Amino acid sequence: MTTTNERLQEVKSYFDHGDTHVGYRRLLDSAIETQDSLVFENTLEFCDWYDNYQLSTQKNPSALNEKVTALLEKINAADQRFLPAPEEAVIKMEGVRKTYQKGNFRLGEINAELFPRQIIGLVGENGNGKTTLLRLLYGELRPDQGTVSYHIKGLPVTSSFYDIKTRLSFIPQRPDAWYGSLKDNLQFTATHYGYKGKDNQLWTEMICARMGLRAFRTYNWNRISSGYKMRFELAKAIIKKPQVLLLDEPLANLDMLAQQVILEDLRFLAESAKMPIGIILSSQQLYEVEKVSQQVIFLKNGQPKYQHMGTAEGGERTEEPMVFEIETSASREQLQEAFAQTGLQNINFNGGVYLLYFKTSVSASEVISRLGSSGIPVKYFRDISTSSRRFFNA
Amino acid sequence: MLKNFNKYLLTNYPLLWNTRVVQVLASCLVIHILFFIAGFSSIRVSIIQKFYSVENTGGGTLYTLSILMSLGVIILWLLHYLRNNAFKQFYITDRFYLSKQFVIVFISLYVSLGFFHSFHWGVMAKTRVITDNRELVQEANTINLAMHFIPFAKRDYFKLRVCNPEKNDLFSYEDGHDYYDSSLPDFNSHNNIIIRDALDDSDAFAYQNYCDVAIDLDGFAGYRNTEAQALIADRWIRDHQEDSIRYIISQSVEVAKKYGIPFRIHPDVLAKLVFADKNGNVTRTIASSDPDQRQYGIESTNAHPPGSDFFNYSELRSVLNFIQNSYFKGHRIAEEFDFQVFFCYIALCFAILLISYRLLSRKVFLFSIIGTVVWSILFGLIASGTNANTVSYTMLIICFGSLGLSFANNTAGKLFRGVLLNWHVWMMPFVVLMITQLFRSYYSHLYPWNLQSGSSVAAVELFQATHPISTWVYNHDELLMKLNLLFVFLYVSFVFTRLAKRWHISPEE
Repeated sequence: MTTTNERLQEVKSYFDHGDTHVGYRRLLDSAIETQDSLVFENTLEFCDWYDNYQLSTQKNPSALNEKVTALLEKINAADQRFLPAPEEAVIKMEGVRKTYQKGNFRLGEINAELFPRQIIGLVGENGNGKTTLLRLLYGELRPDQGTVSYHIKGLPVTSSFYDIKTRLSFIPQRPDAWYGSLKDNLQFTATHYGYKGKDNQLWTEMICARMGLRAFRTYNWNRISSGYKMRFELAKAIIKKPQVLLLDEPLANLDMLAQQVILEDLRFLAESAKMPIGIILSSQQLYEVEKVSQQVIFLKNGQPKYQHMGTAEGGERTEEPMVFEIETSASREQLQEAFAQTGLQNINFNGGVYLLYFKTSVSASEVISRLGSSGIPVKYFRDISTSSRRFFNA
Repeated sequence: MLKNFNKYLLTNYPLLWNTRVVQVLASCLVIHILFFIAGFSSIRVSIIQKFYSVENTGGGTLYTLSILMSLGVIILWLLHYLRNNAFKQFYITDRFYLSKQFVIVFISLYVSLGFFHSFHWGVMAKTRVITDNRELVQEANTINLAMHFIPFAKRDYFKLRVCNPEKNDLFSYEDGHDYYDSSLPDFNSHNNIIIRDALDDSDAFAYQNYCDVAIDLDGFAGYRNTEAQALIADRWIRDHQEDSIRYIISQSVEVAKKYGIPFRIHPDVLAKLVFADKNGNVTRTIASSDPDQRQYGIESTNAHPPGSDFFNYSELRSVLNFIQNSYFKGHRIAEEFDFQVFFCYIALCFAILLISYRLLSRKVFLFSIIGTVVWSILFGLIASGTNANTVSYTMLIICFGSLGLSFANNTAGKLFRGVLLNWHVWMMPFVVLMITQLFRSYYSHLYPWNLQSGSSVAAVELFQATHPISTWVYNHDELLMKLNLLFVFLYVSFVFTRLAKRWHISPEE
């Protein structure tokens, strides 16, 4: 996590090095953080200018840098307090179990906590309870055992669940269709959450710009792609200023680039200086989710396995074996021969890739070195020792 | 401009934007004005006599057009209104959002109904222009007084006539009936004997016996009631004021001319006839419709042969009643209020249906409809042989049972609980009606004699003292229906919307 000044420096650095797309998004993030109408107006003017700049055939990077610098100064001058993250979990799951009467499916027991500025990834094969868990958290399903408790900042303890739900956002895998233009719908949501008049216009324009929806503001449901529908749902969620954001398969139907952008956006949303959010998202895109998550819950037949990113099974590294994923045309015997002297414990083949299990002391560089020296052709290699990927084959 | 206005509503008043109430109000206002203008321009003094009442103006076309316009407005409105539903899209922070939405839906439906009524208002406004309040009173007084001296039937002047409308006219005389014909079966009946005795009196059909009132303008300033009219007529007869009588008959002829009422009378002759008999009796009657144009034997052709005098009294009375009904005075205020209450009920029922669809899910609505049809059929079959009380009890049980079950059985499926909620709120407008019916039944069952005429006052008073609530309900059922409107309105606005919220956040299973 970075401080505000570091963030602004980071934005400047993106533009200085020509990474204008990511820089543009981060610049808008920083502007939104100020929640300042004047900054919003200046930023939207910049967005208009930037749209023309993108379209122009003769680009002038120094002019762009000048504009960015000027805007960053205004952002810096505005209120940029970085609120400390609340210490209490926004959602706490204790001994949560759910059994479906039909289908003989049992979920749980789930024990987990979601903190503001934290992302938890829910992974697992289809039909293993990801959506069920999200719906339990959103209150659409009632747990058979255990409790889900919410600690929403700004709401009194006596608040009804309805009040709590005003601060939760759930984006289903297939959002409902909406009518009218994208912007009208966004403004409709914004007005209900207290953005009236000019504020409404500024916030919706800013969120549209941030989510890359400016060009689609007048479009209706039928005219925008799945990716932009997901961005629109995110835009709607942001404008509600939720403290918890639950997303069911947000990456489904998105191309590789869109997946990365959405995940990056989620990370920045979660880490917001003034509006920190706790996010739980389910996905099949394991590695992409792991990149942005602090914790991954792997669900198999409803049973959870917890993975704190950077460690195996959470906390410090344990005596778990090192696991490497290799795609190669070599045979199992060739691999066994190559790693006979390097502490190879087991080889699994799932039809596409080999999983090599080594002693804890073996490092990835040693394995790569051995593969090279043995002349084994490698199409793909990944260290999955600290990834929940290894659970898929367990 | 319209786009900017829409944007303004969207960014400031999302509920108004979503419900399109401003557009509905504006459209309905325009349509109501158009109907009003159509009504206003449809009436002329010469054609008022063609209509029996304001409600007849416009005919069937008006009602058809009005219903089509209402349907058109409501369908167009729904197409826009049903597009966005904030309650289902997210959790609204405004605590009274749903209450406000219900009020707006009710208003939108209310203004979309009864365009024909604006037509009638236009007719009434034009009628008031044709004959203002002062003229109406003057004309009514003229006609009422003149009618003393324009005899259409002897029975109106029979001395045993009871002129108090609250008392039965037991000894009414029928023109053309021969009370001395001993061959008739009722010759020796008590009534006939009394009537024959009266007929033997010299003043059996005296002009002074007349006590009818053609146009009752009770509530209008300057109107002379029956007694006041009778005093003047009596004075004129007593003082032999033939000129005054002639003048008032001439004035009534002028009124008839104004409204194109057919007549052929001679005020001079009629005035003289008042004093033709030394005992003041009516000696000659005139026809109430043109004998030359008469097709059916409503009146005796012998009494009024073709070419004889006539005065189309009923048409004139109809015209003046029509004009009287154009003024919101006396019973018309109550009638108009009842009419608006009726519209409110229709709008309320539709609004409840619509709001239940908006707040609960589409699936719940569909199942509620199917369920309602099923139990209506079952209930109809079972209750066909039973009395109204069973119907009322069953409906009350369904209403409150549904509500209770939706609360008590929290583990039941969300769909089922939603259906129960729908059933109870759909039934709510009829709850007071059913309770009132049960009270009436209870009242009648306990003391059926008490409701019959002729019961002793003491017995009635005793019953009322021992059953004050039943009596009050029995006597105030109309008031209860009106209060019920307010009750249901408040119930849906503040209770049902909360129940719907509670249902909305409840888990599915």
